[in-house]
This record gives sequence, C-alpha cells and structure tokens, in this order.
Amino acid sequence: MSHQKPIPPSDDEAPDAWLKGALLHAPDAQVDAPAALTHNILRESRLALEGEAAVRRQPRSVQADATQSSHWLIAAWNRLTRPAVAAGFASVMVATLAGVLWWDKPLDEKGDPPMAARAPEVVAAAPAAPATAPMPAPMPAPAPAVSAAPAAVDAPRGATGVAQSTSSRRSAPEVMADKEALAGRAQSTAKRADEPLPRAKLAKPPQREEVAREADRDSAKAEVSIAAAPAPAAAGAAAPPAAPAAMPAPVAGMAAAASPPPETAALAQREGSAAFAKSAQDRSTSLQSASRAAPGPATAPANSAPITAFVAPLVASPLAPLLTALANAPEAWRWQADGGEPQAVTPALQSWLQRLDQSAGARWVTLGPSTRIDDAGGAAALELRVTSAGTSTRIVLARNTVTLQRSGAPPTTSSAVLTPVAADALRKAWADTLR
Amino acid sequence: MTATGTLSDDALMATYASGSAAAFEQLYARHQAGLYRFVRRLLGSANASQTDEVFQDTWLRVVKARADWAPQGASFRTWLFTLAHHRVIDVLRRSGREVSMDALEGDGSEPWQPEGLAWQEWPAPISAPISAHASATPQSEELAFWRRAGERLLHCLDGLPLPQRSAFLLHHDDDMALSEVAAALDVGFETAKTRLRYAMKKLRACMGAYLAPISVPVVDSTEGGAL
Repeated sequence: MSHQKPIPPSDDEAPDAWLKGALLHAPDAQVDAPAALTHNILRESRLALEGEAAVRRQPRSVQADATQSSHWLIAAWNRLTRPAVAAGFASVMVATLAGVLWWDKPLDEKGDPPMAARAPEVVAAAPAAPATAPMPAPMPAPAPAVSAAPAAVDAPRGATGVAQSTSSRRSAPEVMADKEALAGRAQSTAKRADEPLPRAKLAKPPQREEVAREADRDSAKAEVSIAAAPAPAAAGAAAPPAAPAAMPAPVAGMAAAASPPPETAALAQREGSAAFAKSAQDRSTSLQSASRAAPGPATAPANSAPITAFVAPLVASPLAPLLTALANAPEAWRWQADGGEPQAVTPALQSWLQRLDQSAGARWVTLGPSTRIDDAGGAAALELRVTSAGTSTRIVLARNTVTLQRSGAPPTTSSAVLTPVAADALRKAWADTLR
Repeated sequence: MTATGTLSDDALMATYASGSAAAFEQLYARHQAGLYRFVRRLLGSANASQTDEVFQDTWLRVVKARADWAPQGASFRTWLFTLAHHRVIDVLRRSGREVSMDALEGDGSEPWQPEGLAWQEWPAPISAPISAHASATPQSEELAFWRRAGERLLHCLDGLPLPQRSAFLLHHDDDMALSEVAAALDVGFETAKTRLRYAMKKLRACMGAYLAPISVPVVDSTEGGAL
C-alpha cells in the first residue's frame, strides 16, 4: 500500500482519481445487462429489420391498398377537421337551419304569391274545354299553385313576339294539340303588329297599373266571384299577371313576376303579346275616347274581386288588335250583323266591342283554326262581322259563349265564356244601340 | 467478429439502419455495460428495480430511430446516454419523485469539506479494478478499502440531486469530456461544469467523512458497520 499524499484535484474537468477508483470498485461495477434482457433487445432489433424487409418485399399495389384502406378514413377525417373545411360545413349547416326555420313559418308569412297570383295557374291546370262543349261547372276554390316561376321565365320571351315552343313544363292536353298552329299564328300576329314595342316599353309599370285598374273596374262590374268563375283554361292562363293598384307593393311585384306556366298559356301569350302590347299602349287613349264612363280607381273596391282584378288586365285579348285598328282607322272598316247590310264603324260599335272585350276579360281560349263556330244559340245568337281590306273578324255571341274568328294567314279562333249577366247585358246593349 | 468491429459507432448505426443486425449487436456489445451501469446508478438504490425497463426502452428507442438517426454534432454514445437520461427522468417523475433540474438544488451552503488528512491516508488512486484473486496482503487490504469506498460512493451518490449525479457519472464513470456531458444533458458547458463541481465537492465530503484510512478503521454509527 502506498500512502502517498495525493493533491485533491482542483480542475473539475479532470476526473477525481479517488472517486473514480471508488466507482471502479463499486459493487455494481461489473454488472452487465441480464442475458434475457440482452436477448430481448437483440431479438427486437432483428425483428425490426425483418419487418422492414417484409414491407419492402410486399408488392407496391398491396402496400397501396393497405395504406388506402387503412388510412382513407383518417385522411378524410383530417381533411374535414381542417379549420377552413370545418368552417364551410358549419356555414352550410347554419344556412340550412335558418332556411328550415324560415320555411317552417305559416304559408302566409312565407311570401308565397297571394291567391290572386295563383289563379292563372289554377285555371291553366284545368282542362281546356272545346268551344262547342257546354261550359263546365264553376270551378272550386283554386288549389295552391306551386310554381309560377317557370312561367315568369317565359313571360318576357313571349313579350318579344318570338314564338318558340320551348320550356313547356305543363300544358293542357287539348290545347297542346294545336301547339304548332298556335306558334304559327303567334308569328303572324307578331308580323301584323304595326310597331312592336320594345321589351322595356312593355314592362313599363304605369301602363300595367293602368290596365290593372281597367280590369279592376271590369271585374267590379261583372260581379264575378272566384268560386263562380268558370274554367276557360288556356285563356285564363294566358293572362299575364299584373298588380292591381290597390295591391301592396310586394304582392304586386310577385304578381308582375308571375305568368301562366303552361305552354298553352305561353303560346297564347306570345300570340297576343305584340298586339296586346300595342293595345295596352293605345288603351289609355282609345278607352278614354270610349263613351263609357269608367269609375275612378279610387272608387273601385280594392279587393272586391282579387282574382279577376289580377287576371283580367293583362289578358291577351284576341279583340285587342281589332279594337286598335278600329280606333286608329274607323273609316277603313265595315261591319254587318246577322247578314245585314255593311255599315260604317261607329263609336257605338266600338263601345260595344270594348264592352265585349272587357266582359270576356281573361276568359279567352284559343281554339284550333278549323274549329267550327257553334251557333247553338240559333235565332238568339248574335253574329257580327267586321271587315276591312282583306281582313275579316267574325264574332258570334251564342248563349253565354262568345266566339271570335279572325281571317288571315293563318286564321285564328278564340272563344270565351261570359257570365250570364254579362252576356245578357251585351245583348241588351246590342239591341239598344246597334240593332 | 465481423468487419463491423472496426467501425465507429456512427458507422455501425448507419449499417444497422441499412439492414445489418450484426451492426446493432456490435453497438450493443460496446455500450451495454456502461449504459446499464449508468442507468442503475442514476436511478439509485431506491429505483434499481426499474433499471431493466429503462435500459430496454433506451435500446428499443435506438432500434426505432435507426432510420431517422443522423449524427448532428454529437456522437452515438452521447445520444445513447441522452436517451437513457431522459428515460430515467421519466421513470423518476412517474414514481412520484420531484426531479429538479436545478444543479444547485439543496446547496444552501458550501458542502462540508473533510480535513485534508483524510485524503492523505487513502491509498493511491488506481485506474483499474484490483483483481479479487490478488493474494498479496497489501493488495487485499487495498481491495477491501476500495470496495468499501465503492459502496460508500454509491451511498453518497444517492444523496446527490439528479443533475449533479448524472453529470458526475457521465464524467467519471463513462469518461465523457465535459463538453460531451453538457451535450448529453442538453445543458450549457458552464452548467455542466457547475453541476460537476458541486457533485464532486459533495462526494468528497461524503466520502471523506466516513471513509477512514485503512489503518484506522472506524465504525459508521449511521449504518452500523465499519467503513
């Protein structure tokens, strides 16, 4: 044993020899890892390598399939949980919830078109009756109409006079049979129109309101109720909606946007749109010159007959071209009644024709060109023929049905079922002033 | 031994990552003893039963990290002991012990320093363990002394805070330079140096107070045995 006097190390970086010596002789100095533990660790190291090699040997497709199948959900979930995607889904859900809550309101609060706006569609949905057939029973209360939008899409197209048989979603079968003929007549009608108004002019609100007021007055006179209204389907559907003066602004807007959805209605509207546009423009002057004194809008009951008031003003009346022509050049026209002598057109005749037009309102139904006019009224039937150079219009009022047959290429035939009161009033006016 | 016996630790790790199990076995053979001892001493006598778990976890982490492992300024050995150190901290925390990483923990004052005479009576330090088969009297006496010194040192190590203990063990037992110690403990050089300094002072005091010179054995009243 050497009893030297070692100097305690002052430099901490140099190991202390005595402490190191003690560590070397500590009881655990020679302890190794247990053999089992060593075996496990080495086995794990080999297994890791073998597993890696097995994965390497695995076909790429199998790897891809396994990866795809096992991680597809995880990847999808990871994508869905991204903040942007999650926010998008949340926005959609909130919008859906708000929409559902909004639609859950009562029908009146949903902003659905009023009953008046739905009337044309209901009328259009009814099967069109042939001109010779007796008029059907009064229609029941109109069922809720679902879509006025498709017809609204068609409305401007029809106003331009372009007769295209597109976008036909619903139609009355009987009228559809004459679809091609109607289209041809619509073209000819558009051609005959003297100066087709531009589209923007047609949509002029003041004219529509004025026409609406006229219709309002007519409906008040005719005392037509909704329930008693018969179903001249296509003619009713052909009525472009308008907002009555008394109608609230939103309802009026909706009514203006709505138009008859059936193809028949669209065709009928196209047929008469050009002439109606002009007549609507001229009505303000021609109707003022009429002998009849119409009550002012303010005096008309605002909601006396909402459906009729709504439907009537924008009907493409087949009489409109004739009335316009008579107002413009009465000297060029002659008329004869019941086979009598031709006579010059007088204001009384014009007034009677206007009254007939207003009584028919929106009930005009366009029939096939070869439709035979029913003169079932026999002696009681009233037949009027208005002629000009190359143009002839024959009007027959038999019982409650008025039929209008216009010559030309192609010829057109329209029919309207009047109320008994209106028909009697017309006969009486005819007898008083013209016979 | 294969050709991998001459490769460095980093090369062996790279070879193992490329698919050679023998390289890992070589690595394991090189470091298993030192690592096992380090883990055991770092855990202390109270947690010695968890030595195997920490040791195995450390090596399994090496296995798992083979593909991603790349020497980044530190040697494989340093990285290996860093892994073990972290696992020891995890185990100690899991066992409910507060593991403070403050190097000066418990140092309210300067540690007690034994009288200088204590060192003077000790046998000369040795760099290799004395063989137990040495039969000469002085050597057997010295062997007994160093064995008692070793036991005492382990007891003193248990009283050291973990940062100081780990710094001392890495520096004295595993022969790491102070810079490597700092890297292994993920601390700065000065911090490692401070930890080591405090650890050595405490151990010297602990050893000198109870380790009497060979010629004058004393009875350790606290442990009831002669030191």
